[in-house]
Amino acid sequence: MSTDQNRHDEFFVGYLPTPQRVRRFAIAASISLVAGAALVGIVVASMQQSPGMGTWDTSTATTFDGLALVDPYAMLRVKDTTASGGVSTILLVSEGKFGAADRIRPFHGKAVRIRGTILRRDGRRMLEVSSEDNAVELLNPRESALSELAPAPRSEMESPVSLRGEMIDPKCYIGAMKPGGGKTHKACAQLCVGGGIPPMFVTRDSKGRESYFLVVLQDGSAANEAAIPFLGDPTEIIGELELRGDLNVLRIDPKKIVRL
Amino acid sequence: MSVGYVTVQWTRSKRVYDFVIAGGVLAYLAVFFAIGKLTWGGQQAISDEILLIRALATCAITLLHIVLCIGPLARLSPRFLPLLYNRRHLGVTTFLVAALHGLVVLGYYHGFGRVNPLVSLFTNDIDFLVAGSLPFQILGVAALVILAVLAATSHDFWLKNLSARTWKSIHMSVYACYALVIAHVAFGALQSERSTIYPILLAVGVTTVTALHCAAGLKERRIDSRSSPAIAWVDLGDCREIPDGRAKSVRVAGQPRIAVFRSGDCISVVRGVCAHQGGPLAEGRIIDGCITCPWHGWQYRPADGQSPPPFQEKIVTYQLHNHIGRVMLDPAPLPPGTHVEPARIGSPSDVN
Repeated sequence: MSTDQNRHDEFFVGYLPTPQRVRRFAIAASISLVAGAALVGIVVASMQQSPGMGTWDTSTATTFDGLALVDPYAMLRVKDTTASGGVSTILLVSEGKFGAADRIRPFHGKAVRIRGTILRRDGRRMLEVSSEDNAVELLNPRESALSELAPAPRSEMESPVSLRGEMIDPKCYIGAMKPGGGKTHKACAQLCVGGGIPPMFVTRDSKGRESYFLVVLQDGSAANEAAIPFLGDPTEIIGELELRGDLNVLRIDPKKIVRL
Repeated sequence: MSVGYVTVQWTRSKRVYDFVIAGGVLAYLAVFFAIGKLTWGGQQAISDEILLIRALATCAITLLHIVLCIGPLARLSPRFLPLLYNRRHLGVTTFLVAALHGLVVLGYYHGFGRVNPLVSLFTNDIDFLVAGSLPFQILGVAALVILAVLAATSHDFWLKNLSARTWKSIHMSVYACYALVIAHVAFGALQSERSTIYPILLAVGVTTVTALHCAAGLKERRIDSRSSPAIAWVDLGDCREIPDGRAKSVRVAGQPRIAVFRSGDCISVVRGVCAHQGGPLAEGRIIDGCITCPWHGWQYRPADGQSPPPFQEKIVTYQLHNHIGRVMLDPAPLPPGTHVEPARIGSPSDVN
């Protein structure tokens, strides 16, 4: 039998010894497939976009003294020499996908000491309040200190404004999940905002710089339910802007939100 | 071929095959994770859980593409048959990797909330009526359910008890699964990631799978186009052209493919479809006196279409006779396992 015929007659049966040429081809094909798959993995992994500069230090508990507020969302006004006016606002959330309004409500308008882990992104801070019973303690500060921290007056800006961006759940977006936005995060964001975490709207300018807006309804109340359907989708919102201390607040009419 | 059932009938080929699968999957996940960590580090590091979700997702979709490409590749060239031999283990691995992806997503994206993660999965982002925001996770769930059914029924026990036809019909749903996976990625990850490389890679994958299936389909069509009319006796042509121990495929109108085997001077004809998974018997060989399927090595005796004892599988045989030196076939199929005396090449008289 000629060599050509031998090659032609080589036949693979799984439970019999594999003919040499068949084996060689199978090895080459297997190596090619594994290498091709690895190449796909390298390309896909290396082309992922940056999730942003968010951080969440879960290993270190941080304590803040300040004025607790729950209107419209749980937040803490603290002294901050780097902020204009010397006061900045830290949004408060609970562990998991929950807001902290129920926890903070008994302390509304009072000076407190709160312990938790801090999330940071682009100068915005959020505190995940520790679940320990003594994580929120009532303080008895001097009157002058309390007046410094008093709720910031509202100052209206241009009205109405049209903004393009994304409705986000800020806990994940600021640092709990990276990335914590976009379509793949939508269901998680719905769970977070549905659980009481305040919704925010984020816009990006042409250089990729982001601006954050705390979202409330037109009457200034919490907008969680209204924001849920639009989380994770690119949207355009026509609303009214106001400045509350260091917080940009966007008052929305849910009927004036359009998916892009 | 079996007379009893064991979890896996291990052979050296299967062990090597599974070793390559396991090593390939682990290497892929490690490479993806390492590159992901190197690409974005420090404050811009991607969460480990999300890297894992992405690594598992892209590994599963890559495996699914390989699974879908092996079939047509083996139809186009028998050199790919070793990859086809244990493809079901590749399919089960695809399911396991995809299931792991689903579990991490369930725990990470749907856990830690006010409702059970499974409730969240089926209540958050599922509204198909919202323009511009098609839900994608539910498409992934549907694809995973199909993969689970395919993995659960991949064993020969189900093949035997469901019948080859029903089993094949169920396993053709892998194409519905593939369509769901593509939609899952297109309406999910591709809406979040901005790099154009992702839609390009997906398009390359879909095009490759489609092109290979079209090429294999055209090859089959060419074979089928040579079908003879279903008259009383069909001339099988010059059977001396068939190499010893091999077969040619003949198509008679209204009949499944027929395999004409030559063993020495003897010609035997059986239905060209393996009783196991419908493998193309005409592309098989005669080994140890038995017709041997190219896909998984199932064997049948040429004269009666029966598997050698103790195996019990049977395939259809056909009546033959010689007419002036030509082998003639009666296209009416005989009951599976019916003995037919082989025709002899060159014999001028009727054999039967």
